[in-house]
Amino acid sequence: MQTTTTMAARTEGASKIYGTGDTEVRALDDVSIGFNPSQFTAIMGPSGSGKSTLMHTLAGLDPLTTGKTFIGDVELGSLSEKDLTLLRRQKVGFIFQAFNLIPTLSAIENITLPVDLAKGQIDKAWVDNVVKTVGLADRTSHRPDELSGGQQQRVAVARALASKPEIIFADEPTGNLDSKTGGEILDFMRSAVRELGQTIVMVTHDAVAASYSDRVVFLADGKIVDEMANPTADAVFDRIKNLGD
Amino acid sequence: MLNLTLRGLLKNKIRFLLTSLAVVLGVTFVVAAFVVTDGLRSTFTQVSSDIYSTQDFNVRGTGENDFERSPVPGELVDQITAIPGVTNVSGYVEADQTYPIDDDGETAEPFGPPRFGISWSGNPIDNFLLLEGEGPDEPDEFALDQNFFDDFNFTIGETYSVISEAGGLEEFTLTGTFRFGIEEEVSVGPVFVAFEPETAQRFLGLPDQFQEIAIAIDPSANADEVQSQIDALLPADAAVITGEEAAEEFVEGFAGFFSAFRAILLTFAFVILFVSAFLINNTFTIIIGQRIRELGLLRAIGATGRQVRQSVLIEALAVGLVSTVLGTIFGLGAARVLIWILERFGASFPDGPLPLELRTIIWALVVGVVVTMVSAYIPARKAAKVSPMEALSETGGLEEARSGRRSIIGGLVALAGIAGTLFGLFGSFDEATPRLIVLGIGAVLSFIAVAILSPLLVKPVVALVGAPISAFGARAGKLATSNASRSPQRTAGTAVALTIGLALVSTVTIIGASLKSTVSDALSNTVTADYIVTAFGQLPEGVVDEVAALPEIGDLTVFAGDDAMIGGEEIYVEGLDFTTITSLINADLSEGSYDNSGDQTVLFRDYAEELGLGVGDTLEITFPTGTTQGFTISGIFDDNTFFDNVSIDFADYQKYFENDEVGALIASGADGVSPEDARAALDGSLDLYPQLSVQDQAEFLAETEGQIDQLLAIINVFLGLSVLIALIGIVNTLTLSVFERTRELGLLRAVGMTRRQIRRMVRWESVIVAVFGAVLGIGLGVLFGWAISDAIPDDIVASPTFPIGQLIIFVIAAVIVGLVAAILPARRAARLNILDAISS
Ligand SMILES: Nc1ncnc2c1ncn2[C@@H]1O[C@H](COP(=O)(O)OP(=O)(O)OP(=O)(O)O)[C@@H](O)[C@H]1O
Ligand SMILES: [Mg+2]
Repeated sequence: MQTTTTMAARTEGASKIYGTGDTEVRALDDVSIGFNPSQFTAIMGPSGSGKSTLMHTLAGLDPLTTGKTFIGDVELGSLSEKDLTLLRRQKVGFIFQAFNLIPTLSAIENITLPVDLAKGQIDKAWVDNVVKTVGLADRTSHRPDELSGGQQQRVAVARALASKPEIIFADEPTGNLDSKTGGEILDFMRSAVRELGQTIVMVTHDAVAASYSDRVVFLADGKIVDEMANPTADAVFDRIKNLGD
Repeated sequence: MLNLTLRGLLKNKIRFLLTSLAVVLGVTFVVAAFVVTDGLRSTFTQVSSDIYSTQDFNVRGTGENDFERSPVPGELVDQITAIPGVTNVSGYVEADQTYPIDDDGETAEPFGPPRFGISWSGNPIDNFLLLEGEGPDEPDEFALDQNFFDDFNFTIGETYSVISEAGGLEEFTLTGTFRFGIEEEVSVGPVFVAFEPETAQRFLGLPDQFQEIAIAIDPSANADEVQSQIDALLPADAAVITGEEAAEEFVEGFAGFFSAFRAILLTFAFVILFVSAFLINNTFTIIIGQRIRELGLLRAIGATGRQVRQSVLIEALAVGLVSTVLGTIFGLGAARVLIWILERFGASFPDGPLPLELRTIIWALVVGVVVTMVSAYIPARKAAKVSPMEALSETGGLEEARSGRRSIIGGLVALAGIAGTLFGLFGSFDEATPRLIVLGIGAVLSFIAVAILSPLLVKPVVALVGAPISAFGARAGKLATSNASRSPQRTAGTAVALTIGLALVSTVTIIGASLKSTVSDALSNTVTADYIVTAFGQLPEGVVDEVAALPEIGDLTVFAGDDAMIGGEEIYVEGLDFTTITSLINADLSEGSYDNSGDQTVLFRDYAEELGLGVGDTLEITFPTGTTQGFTISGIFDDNTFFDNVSIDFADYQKYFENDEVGALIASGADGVSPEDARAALDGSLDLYPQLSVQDQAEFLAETEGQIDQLLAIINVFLGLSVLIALIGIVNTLTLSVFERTRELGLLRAVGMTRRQIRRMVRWESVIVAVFGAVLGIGLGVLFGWAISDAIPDDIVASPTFPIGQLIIFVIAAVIVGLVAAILPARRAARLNILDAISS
């Protein structure tokens, strides 16, 4: 058992129900799970199993129907819309599958956007370090439409890292990329966890992608059905087959 | 295809509404303009036919209008009465500028409706209805129009002083009140002071004469025969016409006014439509840009470019039709608002129905449908050219016209526009109408050029305007700035309505300011006299002598004037007092002098040059009396602000025109008399003439400026409507942009942009677009104002004046327009559901 105080994020009995009556969908069904700091967690499961919903509720983008979610020690249900936004920009980083960037901003402006929005001081050395780590040093003044898909995702990773959030949520960050480019991105994410101490929760359908993580959580029908530590691609693949994906 | 278009329309109700709004407003204004003028005319026609319905024949002097008609002899009434078949005859006189003084010693000032003195026959044929008391039937009695009682205190039975131009001041006892008209509530404007007929003739200056004789006949009598019998009695300069003819004549007398009024309203309507057209064009362009994928898909599955174009045009047709219907309905309401606004500015309208004529509906359709279709044509053509691949590609969007081609086309249109404007301003025209048409075309082309060229200015200007906003507005400000310049065509298309509106408003404001500064310069440079005495019409007899006799008043000159013939042309000749004029007005007499020895004249330099005459030469003037007299040119002046081309000494004026009517006089206080004393003496002696206005320079200036300001205010209220359209345009674009950037907004929210920051971002973008439009518009306005001021003759506008303060206020107003326009789109953007937005 982990002690709750050290968790980067966690849920307690989280349930999310969409719709009512006949159209009712139980996207999350009494999920209790915690994410340790400096750990890279992959969430897997069949389509519609509630992966995105779990992430969204954890990030405060979507309220739970019942149960609680925490970022660090902060319980999200008690926060106002505004406090949630402030919490997101200070403590949460996001990487989506696509359309991660604001088209009118340059790469570097996209990276520093959350810090800018908070009118915070940009930690120049840190940002430089991040930019260099993701290999974008010579691309910072480019607009998103001047970057390849892989480069765009790297910018997104850099942005998520730049504000030194407590946790980063990534929803199929490599879903749109070829396996080589995807592998590079996943490498960055893993080194962010290992070397920079980041906490990352990533949704993926890809067993290879999951193998970059420290821990895989399997969801089905809104419930956690299994877990695996230090996964390999083959082990994950087997497990998925058994789950009947 | 049609089915698809219509379904698309119904699905996107907001989009549909936004597009329609601009058209609706344009149609609304056109309909209102027609309805108001039709209503005015029909009420007026109704009233005049009612007035004349009681008479079968009307006898009055021949001549085009009231001013040219001489009165008919009074004895005609008895002679006509004696004709068999005639049942009722009544003679009528009237004279304007007749004022009673009320219980509080207040005179009915010559402002507001005209005050007419009239004869009271008591005969129902005259259409005056007694309301209270009795009609005046003794020489010392009078009755008053009930309208006097709104603003003044009179009591029946009391004795009051009444002033008329011809009769001076006299006392009469008030016997009763009445009003004019057939129906209960009809009033045609003037208010009346009634006297018994003989008294009216005497007091109003038409002894033993009538201006009109109303005649009713027995229905069984032979009307033609009666008419010819009446005709036989009449002197050469009088005629008999039927009651209907009299009614038509009465209405015709105002036809010019009606058509001018309609032309003015339609001009404003045109401005609004013109501005709306840009807005519709812009909205369609944006919408088609957003639908590019849908259109590309249609093309991919086999729709031809023609079908795609048609589907856009059908959408435009639907927008046009719906807008026409709505605009027509709103137009009927707006007509009431228009009347209300004009009445706030002092116009008076008769109450009456506002008819919606077929012609109005046809115009509404033309305007609503045609303008929409024309505005949508270019976007429709672009849509047809969309290639399936282009549309389905990730970055699909309408390609903006390349700047090279844009500058060439825009430059050509601009050249044509400038040429038209300059030709309209400085070219020689015989009449005002073709000049205005050329000017209008020039202006329209110039604005189209602005619309074509302004996208090229978006990036630099937005960078400039956005700089302080980026600095001040932090990240939201920076994002707003880059949003404003990400699609130059969209930003420019949105701003162009404001550009046009503010260009017009600032042009008018600059001309107005130039007009005012010219008057005030002229007054301080040219006029050295202290007081100006004017009347509506001529000064009453004796006034000049009375003022001249005041010991507190020093130099004085009259201003008289009438037409005479010089070299076969009708020329206005002015009569001035050559003895005193130099000490009262400095007209830059650069050669010679004002010679009061008789038969001398001074000329304006341009006119003298035109005639090829100089000092010492002789100028022959033929007066209306038939006399021709040679005048020696004694001087030539350069400043014609206050003088006309030809002036002669007033003594000669009286002699040759055989007329001593004077339009105004100017005077100075006597030496050693304080201004207060001189003014008090002047006011005291003119107390009995309420129709006179006595003003010192400052008051004269204030009044003139006030009149100019009032005119400017009316014009700007209507031009301001185009700013309202501009506002709607900004709302349109922002709403569509917010819709288009849904995913981006969701992302911003997800990474920590607060709702407040989102709102601020949209608001700043809106302000930048508005300020862009304002800067361009005011810049154009300055150019136009400068060119027009230059084109106006120097005696009206000497040099352009730029009211910087007001122009800055316009920029501030634009900022406010931007802020207001952003309210709804900003709220929409801030309320977006983040999850829906990012997964969209
Ligand atoms: N806004 C919503 N309204 C109604 N139902 C929803 C909504 N969002 C998600 N759902 C439903 O909730 C369930 C879980 O959805 P979720 O998006 O979390 O699945 P997922 O595991 O991320 O699937 P995928 O792998 O396809 O992305 C699904 O059945 C989905 O249809
Ligand atoms: Mg998902």
